[in-house]
Amino acid sequence: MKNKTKLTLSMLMISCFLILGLSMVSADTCVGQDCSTNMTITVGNEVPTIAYVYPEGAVTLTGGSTKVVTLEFNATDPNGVADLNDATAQVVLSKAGETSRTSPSCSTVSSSATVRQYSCDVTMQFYDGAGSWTINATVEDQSAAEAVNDTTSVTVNALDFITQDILTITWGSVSVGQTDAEADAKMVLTNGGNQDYSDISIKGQNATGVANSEVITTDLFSISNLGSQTSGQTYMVDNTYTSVPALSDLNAHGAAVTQDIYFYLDVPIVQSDTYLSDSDWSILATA
Amino acid sequence: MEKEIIAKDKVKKLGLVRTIYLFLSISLILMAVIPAVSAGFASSYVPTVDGKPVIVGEAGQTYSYYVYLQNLDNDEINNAITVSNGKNLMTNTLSEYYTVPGNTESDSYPVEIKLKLPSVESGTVYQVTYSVKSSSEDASGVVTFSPVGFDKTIYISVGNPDWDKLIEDAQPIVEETPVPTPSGSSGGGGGGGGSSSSGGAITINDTDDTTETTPVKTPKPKVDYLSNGLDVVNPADQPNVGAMLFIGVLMGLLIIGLLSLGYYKFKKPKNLTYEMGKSLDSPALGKETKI
Repeated sequence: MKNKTKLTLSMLMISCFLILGLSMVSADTCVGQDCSTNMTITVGNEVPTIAYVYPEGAVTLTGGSTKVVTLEFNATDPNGVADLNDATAQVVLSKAGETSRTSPSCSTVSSSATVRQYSCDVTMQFYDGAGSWTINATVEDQSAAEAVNDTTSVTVNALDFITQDILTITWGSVSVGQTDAEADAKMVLTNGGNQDYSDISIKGQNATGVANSEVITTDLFSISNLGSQTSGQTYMVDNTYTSVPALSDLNAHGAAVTQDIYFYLDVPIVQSDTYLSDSDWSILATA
Repeated sequence: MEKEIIAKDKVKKLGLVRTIYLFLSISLILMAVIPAVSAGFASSYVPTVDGKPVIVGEAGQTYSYYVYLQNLDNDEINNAITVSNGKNLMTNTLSEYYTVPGNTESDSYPVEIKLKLPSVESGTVYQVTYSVKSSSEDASGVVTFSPVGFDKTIYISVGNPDWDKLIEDAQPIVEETPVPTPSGSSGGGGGGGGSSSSGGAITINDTDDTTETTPVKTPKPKVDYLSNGLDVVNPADQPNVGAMLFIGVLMGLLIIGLLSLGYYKFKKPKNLTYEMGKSLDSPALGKETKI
């Protein structure tokens, strides 16, 4: 009986000590029902991801000009879209051997809790190479953690485009028997596309006097890539495309790729007259 | 002496005239000032194989290659697309020329060239050459130019190209009509195998008469879109035979039903003798009724 009493007393004492101890521990912050607890929860930053880049059909550039290509992608941030740093969103188009094209900024198309769709405009140049370009989409969050997706590509179509500064070649005044009489002005061809031309051929035509109908035959006209020439020009063949090997500058594409063409005439013995081309000459560029 | 002076004067005058004549013998006048002109087009990107643009395809498939005409000038311009080599692979017909409105950029004026690969052995590669030329402005001069024209060559092959099997200008292709072989004849069976293994699915005809037999097919839905801008068109290009059969059977049943109905509704009453005062609903309907 005594043992039971001792055990009971011991249990009571232990309980009292525990209650007293707990009340001492919490006595500083919790009084009565006015209890409050300072809790600090540290949530780690989740790196954003770009799960989807919207496919883009083949891009067709515009001759001698620029083309704005709009590309869109979805960025996901588990910390919420507010954690995405919109100012860092961008798209870079890249291709080996070509200058990369970067969007200056991107706009927000739509947002959900954790996913934001961006739209980015990339300006491409007419001379950007045909073929597959890699789309590199990136965005950072507020902690500068970067999301990258470079698994999608876009195809740029071929662009053949040439601008010529003049359509008419004239000789103001020449004398009978004069050889290698150079025309008043050269013609300049400009490659306004992304293709290279391995050959430039020209088809010449006779010129006939308006008053007397005398003919300056095609074979008296010649062409060179240089001015003031007295030899080495390529002579034309009537109504037939004739390759002019010297015209090789367009075998490249770029921001300013041009080809000068100089025209010469060996003046035959004909009457004074105004001579006009029987029909149009033609230039044929072969890629 | 006077005569001599006069003669010298004449010679001098003649010399002067001759000099003037020589220097002004050809007076060339610029009739109009023509501003800079541009000409060009875009086209489907074709990946290169061995440095040449090759559409690598499958026998019997039809591929769409696009030419996108452009016109950056304000005035409309006429463009002609002429396919020379490989014309016989085409399954569509191009217009004689295309009037491209001013300020037409990028891909807003597509022209489709559909090329069908015949059933030939793998490695066979065809050359397709086309030109794009523009009409000229009205200009006059000793030398007057049209806008620059372009010559372009692509290739289309069955599988990876074998350049030893290059066909520069495909001949007209006519699909061979299957010749029924006698059943049970082992020799006939062998013959059939021979025709297929020898590439007999196509017949190359030398006569020009067959060139017009190349079928021109209406556009079919695209079933695939390659990233290189080439559309693959359903090679079958064939009507759904099963569906047609099903519809045919349905139509037949419908016709039979209608005929049966007509038989009972119209044919039988022809023999019906209507008796005044008796209803047509009488049991006599459908039977001869004697008055």
